[in-house]
Amino acid sequence: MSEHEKRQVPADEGVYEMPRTAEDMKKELAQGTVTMVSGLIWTIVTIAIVGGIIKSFFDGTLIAPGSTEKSHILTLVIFLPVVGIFFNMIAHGESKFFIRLNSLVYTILPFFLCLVMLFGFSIDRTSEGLPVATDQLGNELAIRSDGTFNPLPNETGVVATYEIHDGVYMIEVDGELQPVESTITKNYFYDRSVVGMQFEELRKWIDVTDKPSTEVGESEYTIAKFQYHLGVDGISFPLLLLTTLLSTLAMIGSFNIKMRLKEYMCWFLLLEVGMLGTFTALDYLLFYVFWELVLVPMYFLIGIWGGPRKEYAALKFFLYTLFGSVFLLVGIISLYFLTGQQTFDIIKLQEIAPIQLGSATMFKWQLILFGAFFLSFAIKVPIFPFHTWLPDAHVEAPTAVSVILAGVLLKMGTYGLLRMSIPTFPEAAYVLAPALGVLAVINIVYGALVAMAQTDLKKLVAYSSISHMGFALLGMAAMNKWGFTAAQLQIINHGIISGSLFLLVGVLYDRAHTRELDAFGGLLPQMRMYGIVMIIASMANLGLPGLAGFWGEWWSLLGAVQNTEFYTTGGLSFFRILAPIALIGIIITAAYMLLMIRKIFMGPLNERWNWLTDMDAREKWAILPLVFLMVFIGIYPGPLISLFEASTLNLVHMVRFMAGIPPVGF
Amino acid sequence: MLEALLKYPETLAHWIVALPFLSFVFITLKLTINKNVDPKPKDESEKELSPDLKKLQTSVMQGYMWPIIALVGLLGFLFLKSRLGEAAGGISINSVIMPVIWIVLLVAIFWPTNSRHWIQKYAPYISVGAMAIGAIIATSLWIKTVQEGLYPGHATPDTEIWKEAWKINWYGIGDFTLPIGIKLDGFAIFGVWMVTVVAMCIQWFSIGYIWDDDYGRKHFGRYFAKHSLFATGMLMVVLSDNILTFLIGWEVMGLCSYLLIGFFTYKPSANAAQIKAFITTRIGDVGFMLGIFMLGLMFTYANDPTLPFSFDFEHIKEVLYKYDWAKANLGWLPTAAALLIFMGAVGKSAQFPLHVWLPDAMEGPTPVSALIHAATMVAAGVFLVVRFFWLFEMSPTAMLTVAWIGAITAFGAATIGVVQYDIKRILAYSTISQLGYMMIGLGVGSATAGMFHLLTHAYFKALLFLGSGAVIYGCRHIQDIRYMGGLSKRMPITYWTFLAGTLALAGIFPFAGFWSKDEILASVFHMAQHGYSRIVGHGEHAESILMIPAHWSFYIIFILGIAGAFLTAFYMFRLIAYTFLGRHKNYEYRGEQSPDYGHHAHGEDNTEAYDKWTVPPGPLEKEEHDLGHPVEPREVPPSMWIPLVILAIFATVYGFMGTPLFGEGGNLIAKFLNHGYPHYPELDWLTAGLMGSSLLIALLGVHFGLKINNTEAGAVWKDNLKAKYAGLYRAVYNKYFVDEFYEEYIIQPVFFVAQMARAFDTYIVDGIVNAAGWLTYMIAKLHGWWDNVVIDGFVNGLAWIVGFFSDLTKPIQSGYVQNYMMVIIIFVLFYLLSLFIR
Repeated sequence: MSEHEKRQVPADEGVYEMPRTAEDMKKELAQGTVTMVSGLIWTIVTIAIVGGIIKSFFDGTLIAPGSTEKSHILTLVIFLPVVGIFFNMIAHGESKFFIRLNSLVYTILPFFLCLVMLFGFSIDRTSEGLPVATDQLGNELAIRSDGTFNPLPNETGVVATYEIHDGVYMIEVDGELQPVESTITKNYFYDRSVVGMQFEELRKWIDVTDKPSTEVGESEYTIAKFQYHLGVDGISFPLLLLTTLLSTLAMIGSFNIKMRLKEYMCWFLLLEVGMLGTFTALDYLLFYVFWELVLVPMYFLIGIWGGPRKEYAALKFFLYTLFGSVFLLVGIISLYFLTGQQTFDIIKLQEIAPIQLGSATMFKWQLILFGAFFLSFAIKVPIFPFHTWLPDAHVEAPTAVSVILAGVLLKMGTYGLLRMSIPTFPEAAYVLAPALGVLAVINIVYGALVAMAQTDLKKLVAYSSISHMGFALLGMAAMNKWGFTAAQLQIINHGIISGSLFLLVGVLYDRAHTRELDAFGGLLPQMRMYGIVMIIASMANLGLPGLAGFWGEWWSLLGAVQNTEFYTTGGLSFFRILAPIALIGIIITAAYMLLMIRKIFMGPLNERWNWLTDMDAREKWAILPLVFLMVFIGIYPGPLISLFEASTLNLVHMVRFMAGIPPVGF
Repeated sequence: MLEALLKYPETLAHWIVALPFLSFVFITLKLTINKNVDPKPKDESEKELSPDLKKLQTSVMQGYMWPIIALVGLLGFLFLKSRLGEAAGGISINSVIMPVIWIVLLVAIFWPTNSRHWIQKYAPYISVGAMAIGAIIATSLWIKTVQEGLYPGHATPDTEIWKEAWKINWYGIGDFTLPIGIKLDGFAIFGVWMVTVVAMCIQWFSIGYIWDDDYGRKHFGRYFAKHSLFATGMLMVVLSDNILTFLIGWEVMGLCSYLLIGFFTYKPSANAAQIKAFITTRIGDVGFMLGIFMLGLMFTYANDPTLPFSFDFEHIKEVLYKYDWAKANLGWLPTAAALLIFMGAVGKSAQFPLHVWLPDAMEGPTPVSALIHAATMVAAGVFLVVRFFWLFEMSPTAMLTVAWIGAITAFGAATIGVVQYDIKRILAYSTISQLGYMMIGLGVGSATAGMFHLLTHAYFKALLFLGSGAVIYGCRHIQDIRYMGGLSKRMPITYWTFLAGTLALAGIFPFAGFWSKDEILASVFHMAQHGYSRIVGHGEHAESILMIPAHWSFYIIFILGIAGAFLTAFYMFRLIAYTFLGRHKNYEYRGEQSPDYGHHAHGEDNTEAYDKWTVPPGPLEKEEHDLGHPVEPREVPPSMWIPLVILAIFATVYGFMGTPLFGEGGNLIAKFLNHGYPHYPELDWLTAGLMGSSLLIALLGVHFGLKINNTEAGAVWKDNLKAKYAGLYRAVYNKYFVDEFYEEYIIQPVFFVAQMARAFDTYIVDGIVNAAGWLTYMIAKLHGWWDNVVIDGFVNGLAWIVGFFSDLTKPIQSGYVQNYMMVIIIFVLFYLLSLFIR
């Protein structure tokens, strides 16, 4: 109907509008006032925050290289959403635009900060890797680690001369000698070649102390020290990027939530805090707090905004995961007592525990603790037979929450395995590798088979998630550089692919209010863009070379084939038998993804759906970045691999060294 | 640029791959981003806008995707720029060209006034243009190779001429790096020349064919985008110097065949066929991947394990070929690796038992069938075996498997082809059969013969498929040959070009197929006589090791091949007889008198009004169709017959490159496709005799094909035969029930297992979880009962008992003074009484 025709509709045939009462006007006035005031505060505070970030970026306190006390970028990344929660709380519930804007801004800001960490401004380095600084006169110096420096030649090849008085370098400025002030004008950024933690923050949190009764002196000694310790390395930084990216896109994807928007956004932002904290915490207690913090918002997000069986799904998810977490807690406490150090620091315990628990008598403890940690993480990944919460939670959760569930929450499990289980208990991990491999292959094949039998689109995608996480686990079980690289690749790629698949399922469900595969048919001509994107995502999911999904599968299978350390006879070994079985899963995956496409998009149009429309701009904005990443990583995975390469390789070497196995090449 | 083209075509070789890919990207993005803007304003209000304002409005409306795509482009550009800096050799020219290409591409994509109409119209120009440039580069590569008489590639590594070819480091994991690049050896140069020429002709032909279809016209741009992507995949396979990019190209082709078979998305049969094609080839690909893993495994044995594995063809061959596997008691390793890799070839090249997808793939548009399912993609499997020929050589088992699978396929498919009625299906089975011949050639140790047949087959089969497309176009999308006939008069150009292709396929002197097929048969004969010896080392140090001793059973392969050649000639001339000769039968099936009986056929030229050189516009003569009045077949427009003529020329003369008449292994094919591999049959009496006998057999096939299908007596004889061997006829007609077997014993069981797994998951695994939850709940309830009833009951009971007794004793403390007084008095009385009693 054109604009002209609309005007022709007589007034009395239109929607009857209630005359506004005085009470209504009062309400509107109140809403307006609240929105105006909160909006004003919001503007001021947001500008202040952004300005503060920019200022601290340039004065070097945002990212203070080498200083664990000054640097605070990770804290900002984690807790910026809390500011958003605050503003959502003071906002009027009816001013939806404000709530959406606020929530979006405070999910984008962490993402933006992560991009700053990723791209930032690099500092110049000499060929030996020394950072380059300049003195007052603009001469370049290479700073050595002990604080002294080498003057570097300028373009004409002249090296500036400095006088040294009492060990202090002096330079002549305007006729008088001054001590050299060197400044590194550019900030650090995420350094791909560094093995250890970056952007570290270390502050005192809780010190449990006691006065010794036997000693005469007054000095206290520490029983346990809980620290506020944050940091990222190659294992967590890609996940941080993934989390912030998916949160932003899921936030865009959840703008169509109508019911109790304010509350939804608060829970969503709190969820993001929990996830980001989990990936950056380096203290067991801190980690545990964030780990558990994730459950609560998730419980409410599924339980309130979910589908028909939301209560059941939410409760199942919460209790199941909590059940695992208990073992994690017990494991942490046992680890503390067994190592006998006064620390809960993850990194320190990684150094201590393998030695402390390395002896033959203590080895059983390694196995037990690995089991306890593994149980908790296996439920999160999920690994067969602990996976049944996942289909229920995915199917009942609203779209954006499914994206987060598949894209981030599952990765918390694999992250836990890579960050804690394997490096802290390397020998146990090594001994149990064949069992892990078997579980991985069961995941791959079983998940694919069950997915094939599904009639609900979302459930199909959920089971395919289970199948694909199997490849990450297979990579870890292979215990070589191919495997660990593959695991990390698969984790990231699966986040991207399944995130986009769930968003796509949501697009269809929002329109049709059904997800039954057999109900559709022939949608491609009228949902062209949607169909194309769905086909690309499906192809990536089934591991087509040239798209993101392929590399994780390829390298993990190759890693498995290269592992000859278990039950080897002739040219055959345990993992070489597992790899072909896993390949069966690939065929089944292709079958069910293609059948899915056929049932929804191909064939003659089911006339019931002739009114369906293509994706709108909001949905495109939410999905297309992921599609771009799929294609880009598929064609050129180099940049992604270089993000975590140093860390995963180091992990492999460490595990193999601790478990007493020589390193292997290809 | 021109100088580079003429003197150093190898510096441009990677553009052969890049240009189709860029045209794919360009067309796709253009189609996706640009809106359908109607060139004419719809109503009055829009007319009021000034053109500039309108343009601005359009650009703003279209521009909502700008920022993100621009950012993406910029990032990609930066990455490429930074990476290209590290690339090795000969890249400087490209680092200048690349930014220009990017900028031009971006500007063209986002040029706001270009609507989707623009790209719909010009897409074929872009993709055909890209292929044409590729064909020019490939031709100059070929000319250079022939002129300079060089053996590029591994035979003489000291030749410096090909060093300019493109090579970069892709990415790495730790100390492992992935160098990728272009490999220019004889196989690649002949292959790339074939692919570019054939693909160009097919795309050119498609313009008219697809425009003729209502659905196709709406999706014109999409069709050519996919075609370009397909060509990219095939060229990648041909030009790759390492397995990984080979695999990527291989799978991209799988994807494109999936997309193009299902081009008519509304057709359920096409949907089924596309899935079947993808999954079947995927099964083969799994074997291929395992084979690659197996090579990695062999590496660990043959090499110092600390040395990094490489995916480079040359490197793998260098390391593995020298190692004596039999001595290390690991003879099964090369066999297993070769058989697994062969599995990939079986899937892609539609060999028995994975041949089932190819006939079904005929659901796609005919030019697609020509490109994918005849000329190039199916040949990729053969090309794979050629690339890994050294591996097959090491294992007699693998070679015999290849030969026997090839023989079975060649003969079996030929028998099925005899009884089909769908023009495209006949050609599909003929393709399977010919691929079988190539496999035979490879299996008996003549990579040259296999590759030669691949090349000639590509030209003439593409010609035949395009010819069948022309026939289908002419007959308004009728595909059943029983409704055709008499087309030779109505479509003369199509007829003569088709005849050239048929003669080539049937193996009639001097057409291309004669030389290549004869060479394969000669190789089989050679093997049956002398066995197969592998030659290790070259030049002076060459020594030959007998791998497969001569055996009588190889004559069976020979006989199967000869029988297949007879059948090929037979069914092709059956096709000619049904389609082009005799009278036009479409009228009779519609209950009308064929004009062929009466007067001379009036071949009106329906294409008169069309722009003959580009796109024939307009729909089919729908009105005529709606009338129920059969329309007269029409000749194709020039945009369609020119490609046919080009291909017909190739089909006629290409074979002379491989003729042994020039002697001494001096012919081009032997010279460039033979390096490193032994056996090229030279002209002697035996070869000449074989040539003569195979020609005789083929002529017999032609004779019977025409006799039985083009005469009344033949028809009677045929019907009698059909009645006599009805069971056999049914089995062959139904393709030996292979499809039914798979459906019954593989597909259904897999679905059944999936259902079982789902039930297991829902009722057992989840059941246990829910049961645990329920059990906890019940325990909690029990505990609650225990707590409420027993524990609390005990406490409450105690309290009750106390209360009971207190209730009993409560009345004592009543608060009434009289009661207390009375108790005191009673006790006093008792006391006094006790005093008295004592």
